Amino acid sequence: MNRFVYVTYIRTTPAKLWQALTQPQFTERYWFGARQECDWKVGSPWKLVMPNVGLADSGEVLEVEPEKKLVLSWRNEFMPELKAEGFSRMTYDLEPHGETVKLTVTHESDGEVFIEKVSGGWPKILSSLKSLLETGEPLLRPA
Amino acid sequence: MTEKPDAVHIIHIAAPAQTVWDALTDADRSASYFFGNRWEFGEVGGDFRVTKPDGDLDSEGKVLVREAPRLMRVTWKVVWIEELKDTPPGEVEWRLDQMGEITRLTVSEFRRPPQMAPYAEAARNGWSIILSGLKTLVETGRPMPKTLPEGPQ
Repeated sequence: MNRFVYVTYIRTTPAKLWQALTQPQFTERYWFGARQECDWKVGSPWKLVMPNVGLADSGEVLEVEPEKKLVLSWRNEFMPELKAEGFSRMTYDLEPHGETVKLTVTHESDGEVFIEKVSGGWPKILSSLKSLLETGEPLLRPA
Repeated sequence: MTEKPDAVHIIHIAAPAQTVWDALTDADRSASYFFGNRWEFGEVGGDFRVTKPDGDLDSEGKVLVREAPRLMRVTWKVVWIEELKDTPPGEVEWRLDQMGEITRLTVSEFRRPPQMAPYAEAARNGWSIILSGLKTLVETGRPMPKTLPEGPQ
């Protein structure tokens, strides 16, 4: 099992951070224009659609605890060598710490290439998320 | 150099590398994102010191590389934990890569002594707090609300 873990502290509330992670209009502002399609119920399909790519990733909601925890199964759909590695497991953990929220992203996969790719992507995406929540401006512009 | 780090911590900050470097190397400002600790970087060959809010020494080392605003590397020996007193120093490197209007800050830990293994998780969390706080300070002009590290103190 290969694992990537990223922890960041954001000046926000669990409710706002939860919205930011799950509302498509918000997500696409900090995530390269990527749009999530999901109703956030356990067992529901999850999709990530990227501009110029179309369906980029897909999976299923495995666990939901609003404002606390979200677990998705997650497979890349547009790069054959990544898709071949099958489903990974991605977890968001939200934990309030005074006036900040500790966000932990844990991404686990049997595949090595997939984890290497997301290890490069998450720091950018999560840095952009933190900027958007704290300053109103993301780091990343939609591609 | 292809030396493999023991741990890597990355954050992207909306500021030029020089601005990030200035915040990183200003001892007074460091207290606002380093849970009240201060770090001070000398010139190459000079001292690196971390002091606690009460003035006690936390860690010490030597500056190995100082190339503003791109690269800093120090030896780092934790001195405040009794069990680590005789442990050899590890090394920490800060690399700043400016990409357009954004700077990627990469902190890498090298040569972590085996005695430090029980503290690895606490160290990762500590670096997350430091880098999150540095980013908030640079981007918003005010410190992040104080967050204390978890784990062994």
